[in-house]
Amino acid sequence: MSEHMNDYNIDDILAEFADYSESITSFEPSKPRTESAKPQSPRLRSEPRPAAEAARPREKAPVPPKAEPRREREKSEERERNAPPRKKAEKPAVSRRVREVKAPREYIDEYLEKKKERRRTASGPVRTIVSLICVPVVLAVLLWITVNVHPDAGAVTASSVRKTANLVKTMDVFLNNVKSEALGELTYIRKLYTIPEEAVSAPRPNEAAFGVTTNMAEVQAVIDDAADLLKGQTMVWNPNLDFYPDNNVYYYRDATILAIVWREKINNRSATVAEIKVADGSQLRRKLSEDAYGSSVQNYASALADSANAVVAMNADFYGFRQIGVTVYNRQLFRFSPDKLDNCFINSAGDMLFMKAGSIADEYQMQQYIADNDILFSLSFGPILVDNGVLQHCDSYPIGEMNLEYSRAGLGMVDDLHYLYMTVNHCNGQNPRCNVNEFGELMYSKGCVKAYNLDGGQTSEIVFNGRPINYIDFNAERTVTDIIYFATALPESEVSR
Amino acid sequence: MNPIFISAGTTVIYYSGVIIALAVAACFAISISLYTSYAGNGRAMWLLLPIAVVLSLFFCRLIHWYCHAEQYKSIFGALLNYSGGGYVLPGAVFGTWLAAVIVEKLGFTDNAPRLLDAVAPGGALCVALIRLSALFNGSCRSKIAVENPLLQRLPFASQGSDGSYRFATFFVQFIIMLAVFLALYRFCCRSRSQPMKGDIGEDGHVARMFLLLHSAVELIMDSLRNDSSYMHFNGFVSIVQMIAALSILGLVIYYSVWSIRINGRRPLHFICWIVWFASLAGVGLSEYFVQRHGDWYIRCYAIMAVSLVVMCYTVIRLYRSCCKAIRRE
Amino acid sequence: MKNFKFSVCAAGTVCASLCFAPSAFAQTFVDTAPVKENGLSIAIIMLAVLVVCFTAMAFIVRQGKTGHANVPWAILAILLAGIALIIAALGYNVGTVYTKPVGDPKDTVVDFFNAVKTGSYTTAYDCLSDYAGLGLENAPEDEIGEAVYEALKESYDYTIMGSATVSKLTAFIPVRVKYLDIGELSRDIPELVNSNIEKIVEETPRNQIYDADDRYLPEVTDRAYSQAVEKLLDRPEIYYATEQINVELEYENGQWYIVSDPALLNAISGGTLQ
Repeated sequence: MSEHMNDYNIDDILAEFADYSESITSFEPSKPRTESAKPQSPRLRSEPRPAAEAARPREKAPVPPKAEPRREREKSEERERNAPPRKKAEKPAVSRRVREVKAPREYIDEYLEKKKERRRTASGPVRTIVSLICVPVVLAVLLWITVNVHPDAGAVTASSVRKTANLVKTMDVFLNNVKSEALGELTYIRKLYTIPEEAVSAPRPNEAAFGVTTNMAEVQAVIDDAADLLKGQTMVWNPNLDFYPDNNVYYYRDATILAIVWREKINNRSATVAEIKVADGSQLRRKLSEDAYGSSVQNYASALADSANAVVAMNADFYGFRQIGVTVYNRQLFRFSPDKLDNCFINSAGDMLFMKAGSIADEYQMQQYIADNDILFSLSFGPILVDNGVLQHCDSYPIGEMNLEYSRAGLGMVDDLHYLYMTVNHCNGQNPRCNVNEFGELMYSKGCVKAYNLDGGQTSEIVFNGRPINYIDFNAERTVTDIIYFATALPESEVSR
Repeated sequence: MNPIFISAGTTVIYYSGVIIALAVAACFAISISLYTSYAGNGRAMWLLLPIAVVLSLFFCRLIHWYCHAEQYKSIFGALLNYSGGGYVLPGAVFGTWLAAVIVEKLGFTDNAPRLLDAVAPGGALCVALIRLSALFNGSCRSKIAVENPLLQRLPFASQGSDGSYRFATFFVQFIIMLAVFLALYRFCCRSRSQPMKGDIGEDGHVARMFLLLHSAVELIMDSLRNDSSYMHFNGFVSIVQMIAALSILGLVIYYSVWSIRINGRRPLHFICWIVWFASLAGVGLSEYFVQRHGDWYIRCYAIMAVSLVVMCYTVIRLYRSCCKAIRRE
Repeated sequence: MKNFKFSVCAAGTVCASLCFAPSAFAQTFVDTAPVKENGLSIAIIMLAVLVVCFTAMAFIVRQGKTGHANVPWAILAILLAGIALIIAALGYNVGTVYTKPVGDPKDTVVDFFNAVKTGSYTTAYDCLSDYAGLGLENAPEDEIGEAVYEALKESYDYTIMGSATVSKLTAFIPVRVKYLDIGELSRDIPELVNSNIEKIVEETPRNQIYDADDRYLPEVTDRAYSQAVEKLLDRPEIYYATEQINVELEYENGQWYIVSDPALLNAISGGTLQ
């Protein structure tokens, strides 16, 4: 400190600083420490004031535009001065332009520190150069924003992902149906109806074919009418189940699909079951929100089912909720993180193919698997509940609160193109729910040879004809990113036949 | 509605890009207007803009990548290729703050809070216009579907990319942020002649008010959206809502500390804290119930809006307790 | 305070005009009525924005006198915000304002149909905007299908009937497409099948025709069906159909791409999509 004292003239420093304040009433400049006052340092005199940033516009004459606020400040300061003496605890008023008055030594230290800092910052010419550079940079930035920054809906939209069609398969189906009609009276050849893979929605179902009843005989009659579709397969539904009292049974039947939905008590659990038999594998489909993988948008399952023209739909794996698992959609592999979750793949024949967690480590192998097995889409939640007619047991699983009593949902396969949806929920808050292994036992008890656990909780939902059927947690749907659904393949033009 | 403004050869300029660029330019102009009128040097603002844009884009995209990694091939693809993909706007707030710190460190200003005060009203205007640009894409629509044909038009509803009409969250946010801009502009002008008590600085309050109001708006608007960005560990909590809530909490703490330091602990503080936490609980419960019971949206969002107003008022009250009372003409 | 209230009201005015003007004039309550009077709605919005901008500028000039704002920059900010609002209204109603696509859409159409004719399906798919593949490289399931598909491939031909009509980023080109109409061909199949069955019955022993339930054996019906189709395919030109399709193209990423429509896909698939 004494060295600095030798370099600078204190009076000049104080006089300079006094210009900052409009009133310094209690401060008295101290006498210089050293007797031999050094001549004024040229730096103090000639060194230009630092950047105008720190400078108050004191050198400007009182400008009318600023008079108003200054008058107010002067008024308030005057009031302060004329105010009665403050109590000891009260801090002295500080004018806008005057910091707290300190002892001379502290003041000098602070001032000199600031001087040092000013020397450390960019000098005037550097600032000028940088400023000149900034002007074109700013214009370039604005131009770049104009050309490049155009946030979309946040997803790879349907229009930007090209679809694939199979016109040859369409021709095959057409020729088959031609043959069926040509030989109709001579021999029976079943007509084929398929839903094109690239279609974002299925043909609209026949409203007249939907029904709801509490009369089991009526349901049995519908099943008997679908004998041709069932081809001798046994239904899971039968009139002797432990139905909920006064509970409706919902059904839909046409030439390509039979769907029956009911609620029953199984082991004191409230289960909603949907049994579906379809004619073609293309009738088991998956719908993503905005028909594009990765969309940020979430929709209610009933809204998704309605837009897909689903006969019966169910929540899927809610892929948007997590970042693990394998996601295949429209034959394309979008996500490959196979280590933790069991996966279920659906091929064009409508078969469920399972893959245990971590069984394929290589993305190339996965692509090969998809191509070799004609995989259309995947489900990635799990675990596998029943595989090839054998009940599976799972001790631990990374997702799904598997050991808690929770609302559950699952997809099962009873026979060829013969499926079962099941959810287990509260019923008016009275019935217990189940953990994953118990849920597997329920699916197995219904005759599933394959069963896969899907996302539970409030997500678990069965939608029939656009309306939720099961008792959803909190009695309200939640938005999801995807569903799986069954649809009719009968073209709308043939509905009247 | 075609989102393309101009298409010449391989160069395509979208309406949203033009509007966002104009929004940034308007923000810059109003900021420099406020800053230079208050004895600031425009060079700091000229330097702030490009740094703020770069950092804002970086952080906005980083947060979006974190929440929607499936939309990008890799993090580098997300951060280096801006021709597609989305952004999470709170990243811009952090980016701008960081840019101001950098400008201060470079020596172009010694008062970063004052710099941010000048930017705050422009920031609100910029956010308003950015939200308006959602007119040309399908983002920022609500979960609430509008079935009534009479209401299927602005400002009630807008068509999303799936063709359905949904409540036009983006337009409501545009109007609200426009009002916030006017309020902040007025506040910025008045705060110049607002002496503060004690050691609390005079600068930075406008920026804090922007943070408060913007966070409050985002808290409710993000809940309305059908394309929110969620945390990984919990798909129910929106990252934008979390950042907004934490920002408001930070402001409460900041003004509480200063108010106690200046005025001593008083019953006012306890009242403000209790009211603030009660409002926070109101916001949280409303969010919980609207997620569980989607058809309760009217009452839930009404409660949420009232709670947010109360939250903002408590923060402003704590701020006012740090101000000296002056008589204004 | 007065100024503040006025500003709020002014902002409300511009927002209200943005909301209602385009809605009220660009869309009527009845879906079937045409969209009309977009120019009027834009004019109203621009007028409202201009009024608000001038009001804001006057306010800013007054503020400048009291030293609260740097007037030129503030006016620039108001202008920029006003321009942004006008552009938003313009874009909402008008769409793309300027386009200068490069290349001739006719080239894409020629490339596509030539590729389909010659079997270069990859090239053909590259000309499509919305399909990555049409499965044309796949083989049918049975021999009859293969025969029909071969006849279909040989039948492909096209003629460009006029010049392209280009409207901003969309173009239409009338093309006459010739293809084997499988649907038309299939109408003659039942009659031929019946006559073939009669011939087979005459020429073949009974035990090779009927099963235990006196129903035709599958081999018999299949043979009758195959013979019928083969006979029809001896003169496929009878079943050639021509259809005039207005092929739509869109300009994307510096190139013209065909937007496939049902008529085009139906022609390529021999009328089997309908």
